Amino acid sequence: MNKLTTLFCGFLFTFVLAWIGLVLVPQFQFGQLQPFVNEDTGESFPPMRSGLAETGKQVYQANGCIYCHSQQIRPEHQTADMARGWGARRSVARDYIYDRPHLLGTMRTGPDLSNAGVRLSNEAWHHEHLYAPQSKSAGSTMPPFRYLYKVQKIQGAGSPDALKLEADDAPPEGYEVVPTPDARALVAYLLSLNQNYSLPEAKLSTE
Amino acid sequence: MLQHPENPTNTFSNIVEATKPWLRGRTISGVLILVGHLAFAYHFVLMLLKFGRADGVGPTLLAKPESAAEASS
Repeated sequence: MNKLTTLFCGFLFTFVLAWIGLVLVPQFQFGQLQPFVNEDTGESFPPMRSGLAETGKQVYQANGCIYCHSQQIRPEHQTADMARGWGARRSVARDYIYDRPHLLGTMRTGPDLSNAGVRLSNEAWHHEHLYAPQSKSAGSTMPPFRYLYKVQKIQGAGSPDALKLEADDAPPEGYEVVPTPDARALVAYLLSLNQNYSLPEAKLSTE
Repeated sequence: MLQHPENPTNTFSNIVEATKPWLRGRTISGVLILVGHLAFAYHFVLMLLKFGRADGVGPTLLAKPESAAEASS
């Protein structure tokens, strides 16, 4: 046999094997996953995200949050994820059926965000944290996302959404810091991150 | 100070603290790699434009074996 033919067959074999393992088998395993509907209440899980939160997911993607934050709770027996209070149960494939693309992430330079909306449910906290991370979490290596906020002159009584900032983070006298639409969407997305529901394959331990 | 990351009594802020020297190292190595890339790109362009050797051999990478043999003899 010609050497080129051998080489070609080798390439083909490698790619076909990878395609079977990475595309075909997962498609059979997870391709047909449907939301779980609770027969008693008629609720569907995982819950659908609001439009604003879905926009916020794009802000999350655009700002590369995934480079430092994962969104997956690993099983209790091998890892400390649940002991750290990051989630009440392990994550399963069905949690991500509405995520295209999913944002599981592989890096944990920052903490896991699978349940960010449950653990940290205060909208104002998220805005202040995004504007000045170290003010909320001393020693944090998270960069500030100040370009998602606008510094403006206080008009009249001031904006009700103005951030409550202290010391060095505070704007000059007579000015206030307000979130842009991107910041609002991002925080809506973070507050929507919630895996605190039971699925047949991953029940909450209270049930 | 040094504890297994899957030990829940090892707080996350402690883990973040432990990563800091490595993050600094990553920044330094990133700068070194960037400088290396720029140096490579500069020399690559020089080679393509035949600015490389003063003796006019041209790009040694693309030279025919005969001329390479002549150059070495």
